[in-house]
Amino acid sequence: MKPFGRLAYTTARRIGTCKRNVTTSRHFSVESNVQTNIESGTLYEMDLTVAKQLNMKTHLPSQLAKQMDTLGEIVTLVREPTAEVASCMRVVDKHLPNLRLVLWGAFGTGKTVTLNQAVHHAYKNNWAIVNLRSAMELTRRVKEIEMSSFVAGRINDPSNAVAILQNFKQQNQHVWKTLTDLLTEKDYEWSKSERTLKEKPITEIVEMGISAPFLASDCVGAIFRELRRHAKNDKLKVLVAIDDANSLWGKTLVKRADRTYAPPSDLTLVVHFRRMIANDWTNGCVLMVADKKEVADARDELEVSRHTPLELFGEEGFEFIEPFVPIETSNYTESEADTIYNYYVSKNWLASKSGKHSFLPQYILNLPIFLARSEEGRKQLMYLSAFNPYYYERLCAFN
Amino acid sequence: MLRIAFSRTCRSMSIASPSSVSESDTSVRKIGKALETYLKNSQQHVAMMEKHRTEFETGRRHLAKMMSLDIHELDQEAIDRAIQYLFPSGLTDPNARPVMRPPDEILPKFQRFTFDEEGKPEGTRFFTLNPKIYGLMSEIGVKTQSVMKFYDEHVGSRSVNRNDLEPANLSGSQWITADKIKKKLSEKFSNELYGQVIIAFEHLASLPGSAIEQKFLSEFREPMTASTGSKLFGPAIPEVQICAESNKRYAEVTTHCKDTRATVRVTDAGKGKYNIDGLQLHDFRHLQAREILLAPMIISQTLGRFDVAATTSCISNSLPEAPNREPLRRSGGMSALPRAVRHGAALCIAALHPESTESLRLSGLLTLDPRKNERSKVNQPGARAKWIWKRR
Repeated sequence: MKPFGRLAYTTARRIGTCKRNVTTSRHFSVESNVQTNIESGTLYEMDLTVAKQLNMKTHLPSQLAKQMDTLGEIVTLVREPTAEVASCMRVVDKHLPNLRLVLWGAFGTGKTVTLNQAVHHAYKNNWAIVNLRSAMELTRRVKEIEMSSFVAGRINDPSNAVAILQNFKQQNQHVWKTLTDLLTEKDYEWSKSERTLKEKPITEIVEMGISAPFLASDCVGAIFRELRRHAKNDKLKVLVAIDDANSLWGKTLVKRADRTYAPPSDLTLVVHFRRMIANDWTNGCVLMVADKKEVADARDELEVSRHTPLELFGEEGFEFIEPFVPIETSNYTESEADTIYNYYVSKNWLASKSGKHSFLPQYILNLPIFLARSEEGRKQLMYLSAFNPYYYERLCAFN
Repeated sequence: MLRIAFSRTCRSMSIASPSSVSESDTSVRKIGKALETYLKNSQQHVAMMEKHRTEFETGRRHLAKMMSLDIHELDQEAIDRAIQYLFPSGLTDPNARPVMRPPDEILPKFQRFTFDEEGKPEGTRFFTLNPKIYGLMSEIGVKTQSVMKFYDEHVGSRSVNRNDLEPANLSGSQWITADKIKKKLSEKFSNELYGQVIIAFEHLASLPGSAIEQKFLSEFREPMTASTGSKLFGPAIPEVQICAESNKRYAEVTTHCKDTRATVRVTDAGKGKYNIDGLQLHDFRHLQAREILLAPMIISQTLGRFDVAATTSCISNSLPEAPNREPLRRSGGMSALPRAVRHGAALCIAALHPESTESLRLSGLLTLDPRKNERSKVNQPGARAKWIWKRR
């Protein structure tokens, strides 16, 4: 059944993409919704320039990013968790310790998308954004290491540190002016020749880190420290969005000199991000994703493991992030699936109308691919994807 | 003289006592070879039946003793139960299992001829070789005549019921097969004769006024088999039941695929929810598994209507454990478990939604897949694989 289905999908999709034309009538909100009106169940289009600034192409799940490339626009469904995150961000205040939110849920239910929507929400409200694409990159994808000169035994990760700083710079262009107005607290002596003086703009730290990779890890710590300090003083609000945050307490692939694996607490960047998560500062929001990819095997299609925060963060991590607000992401409801279906239909992303291929027997024509735009096809897409957003997108896509 | 001797013989046959036979033997010297054979067979059959009857009765008494029952309590049902208990059989075909029934029921019948006082065969149709079937045809003919006459007399008059002037209502049934007529009349006949009988029946049924012969016609009709139960390989379509709590219709069936046994329960008026050992549809991460699970609903176009609950187990774990073998922990994999559930669900949907039975059957979803993992052989790495031969 399957290979045939794939093939037919492909043909159906090709027809669709050929016919694609720019639809002028938009059935979803383009207007920015500042603080107040985040309505769950509506489609929301992100400005492409904004998306470029926020580096959505790398931060969104790759399949979704590809779809956005094809359709030429970034449209996501605003769902209950997003509204919840937004309402949590609204209560952030300089008198309250930073608010910790943990997005958790089954595979493909939209944790990362919700995180990115929250980042965009922060952008709209002129917050400073500290966004990490995946904490797993800090623990498992460490290309080069060097020992820290600042604290003995710490392991620096220059390439990731530079990437973090560059990403920080790119994502915060909307508040860059504000950031240049904020001044450092003390003298930072990076090395014998490099130093950042007191009462200088904190953006200098970022520039320093980007230009000198061997200092970048320490610069990350310094900029985070300054951000926390200024947030406490109500100079700005900070959103810390960390995808796969449970990997900060997971296993690492970094080897020490004695060929043993270093624990994550030995990695400088991990330590810096943990400090960001700690709730000893105010006027900020820490948004974490508890993702199964830390513990599960992606190739194992049979194993059904738990995905609750306690299981994923482990005892140690769970104790560290407590107290937090858990926000569960779940599968589509029927109306949400319909919204997405109608969007795909309006974009001609679903193209085939009904089984008019007379050379095929009827029971094959009943498959969803041949009737994507019919009522039966709508139902089949819904149930075959089991209402899971990721599976739904995969079923409707052709790659 | 000969005729009288015949008649005596035949009358004595019906009494069937050996003494009278020997007497007739002395009185009649010259009888035809065929008749001689007939008489001999008849006597043998009577003796054999007598013997079997006494044997059955003795066996019944023994059985009652073995089962510590009173002989009067041991009716046929009790006998069946006892046989099933004493001779457990793993054979799947019910006809192949051991059975104990009265000999009259299960032994082949002996066809007797009837003769009149003079020793002539009774009825002139004897000489047609198929007296019964020709009798039936002539009966149909007589009835056809009477129906036509009845209609001619009463058409337009108000003295009879309107409905009696219409053709017989035979919807939802079909003519019984040749085999069944043969059994009914206890006579063998050719297919041509069967065809003629059916033509005659069709003609009679098509006449206006044949409603008065409805009863006669329905004797030779059988209901059209809506369910394909008898033709299915594997478990039959289950009965529809009604849940006492939720008052919803449901059907339950147990089936298997490979090493996975699944008990599937499909409830009507649901939301399309799945519960397979506590797993829902979205826990089956591979599209193949979900496609398999939803296939019966897609074929019958009832997506979102039925709830499916299934529990599965590993068959080989329930067998007497082989030594040195750990029990398997899970039942079924990416396709075997969904396929077991699919077969069960398809059967239940066929019960709950009979309109889709035929399409489900044509899609092959109602048929059990009997294939099993082939056992590995001693001294071989697998079922068929051999160790690499190496010159030492």
